[in-house]
Order: sequence, then structure tokens, then C-alpha cells
Amino acid sequence: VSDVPSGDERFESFFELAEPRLRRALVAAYGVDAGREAAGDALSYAWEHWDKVRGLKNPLGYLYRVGQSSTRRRKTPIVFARPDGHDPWVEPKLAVALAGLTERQRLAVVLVHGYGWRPAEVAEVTGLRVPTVQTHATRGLARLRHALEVHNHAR
Amino acid sequence: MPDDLMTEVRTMLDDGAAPITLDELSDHGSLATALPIRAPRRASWIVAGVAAAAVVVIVAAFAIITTGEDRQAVATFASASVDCAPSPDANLQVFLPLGATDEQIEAARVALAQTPGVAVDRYLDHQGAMSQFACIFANNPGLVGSVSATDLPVSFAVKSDSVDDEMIARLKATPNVTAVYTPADWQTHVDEERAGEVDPTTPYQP
Repeated sequence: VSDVPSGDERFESFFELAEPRLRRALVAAYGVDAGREAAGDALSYAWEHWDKVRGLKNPLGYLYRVGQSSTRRRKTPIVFARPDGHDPWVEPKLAVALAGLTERQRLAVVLVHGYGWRPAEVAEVTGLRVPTVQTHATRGLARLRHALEVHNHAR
Repeated sequence: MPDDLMTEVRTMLDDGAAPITLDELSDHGSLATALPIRAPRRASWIVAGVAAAAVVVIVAAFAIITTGEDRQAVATFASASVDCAPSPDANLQVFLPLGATDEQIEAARVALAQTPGVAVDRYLDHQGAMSQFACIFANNPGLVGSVSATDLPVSFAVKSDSVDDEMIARLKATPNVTAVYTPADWQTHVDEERAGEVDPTTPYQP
């Protein structure tokens, strides 16, 4: 997260680094459709207000909140349905199990365990505290395993 | 197995939500009315003048036909029906760090009071925080008994003219402030605490 350029860096450079992080965080929280839409809204906001955004201390955290505001306005259901033509080996219950977690648990599990973010990085973007992220990551993973009847507790 | 599970999660989410391209940003053109800060207007002076006049007329009409109570458009903890609210009339709760000194608390109070559009409604000391905690966990006296008042952070219930992202960011930037809760944030937090999804030994952490 700290690699995100600021100051006079060009928007395109910022976009390249911010897009995957914002999209993944908002998709984890709000589902594939609503999350992607929210990330698009947030990045568009950054584009329209680049002079302001580039001067922010934590632009990703700010834009994450912009994305959150966007989802509140749209009120799109949280859905993790797999796209058409998906790989057949993906666990069929996974979408439902993921949707069954709380928003914070999904954020922590997906970003920490799924994408390898450090808890501090999750905290910086989402505004949660590091211990809170760790707690949600642990509990969320346990709930996900339980829902999918995965009994290997390695890691 | 968790690695396999997480690989599946990544596959599902990355396949479902493809990367956003720069070209797509123009498709989000309705943002000016949707997001916290409106985009700069490029309307002519004439159009801007007409718009300003219309706003004046609408505001004046609104002021004439509404009571003072009706004009308070920002949801308060009471109007949002939040359980165990810090103050019915406030619309934000601003938390200070655990162990905040009297000087830090006073400095935060002054800073909040000096923030345009913000008025401090109530200070919740450790005992006030304990009352809130006891309200949340009214059905779990064992848990309430295991926590002492000084384990909980003090806070201010404040009345703010707005509760948008800019205001929240501004309040979060206030010295010695660790978290800012809207009524919606608060109810979510209460629900999560009651469901055991937040560590009750570290309550009220954002």
C-alpha cells in the first residue's frame, strides 16, 4: 500500500497500483458485481478529483470509503456467484459460504489469506485496526472451513 | 488445504470481477450526484446564476414550511433506532485511545468543538463507556462482570451538520481520535459484538 505514488505522480501510475487493491477489497466486502462497480466509482472519483486525491495521506483508504458510499447508494445484493464457464473444480458451496461471513470477516480472510496482504495493509485500506483484522481473519477462515467441512487446520 | 481453498477464492473473485480499465472510468459519469463531493461544474455563468437562484427559492420555501425539528436531516442515534446509543441527539461517536490522559481528552474536546459544523453533545467517561457496554451485553452478565470501566475507551457523542466521508475523515484526523462511528457503523458493531464476531475484550475498535 505504501508503494502507491502520491504528489505529482501521474494518475495512470496510481491507477495501475490502486485498481487491483481497491477492486479486490471492495469485491471481498460487497460481492463481485457490487464490489467491482464500487471500485469503478471510487477510481472515477479519483480521476475527477485527482488534484485532491493525490495529496491525501492515505488515498486508498479514502477511495475505499468512497466505494463504500457507492454501495450504500446502489444497495446491490452481496453475491459471489461464479461466472459462466468457470472451472469445474471450484468448490460449489464456496460462493454461499463466503457470502455467509460477515463483511469484515470476508475482507480479512480474502485479503490476508487469499491475496497475501499483511494485516497492516488491510487495516490501512479499510480503516480497521490491525488486531481486529487478525481476529476477523482467524475467525472468518475457521467459519469458512467449517461451512465447507474442511478439517485440515494447517497454517 | 487452506491454500487450496484460498486459491479457489481468488479464482472465483478474480474471474467474477475482471480488472477495471481506464477506459471504463468514463462509464461512471453519473458520479457527480452520487459521491461525497460533487465534481466541479463547467456551466456558464448564466446557468450557474439560474441554478443559484433556484436553490435560494427552494431553501427559502423549505424554511417556511418546515419546523426546526424537520430541518435536522442528518440521522441521529435516536432517529436511526440504534441500540445502546451514546446520546439520542448525537449523530456521531468519536472515540479516544485507551489510556488517554486528561490533557489529551481536553485537547480532543477543544479540537472537536472548534471543528466547523460540529458540536460536542456529551462526554462519555469510562463509566459512561461501561454503561454502554453493559447495555450491549445485557444478556451476558458474566462478560460485563469480567470487564472493568478502565478497559473501555472514553468518547464524545457529537452533533455534526453532516456525516459524509469528508467530515468523518476530518474528525478522524483530530488529535487523539482513534475512531468515528456513525449510527449505522454503531449498529453494525453492536450486532457483531453480540454475535461474538468482535473480540469483546477490545470493544469499540473500528
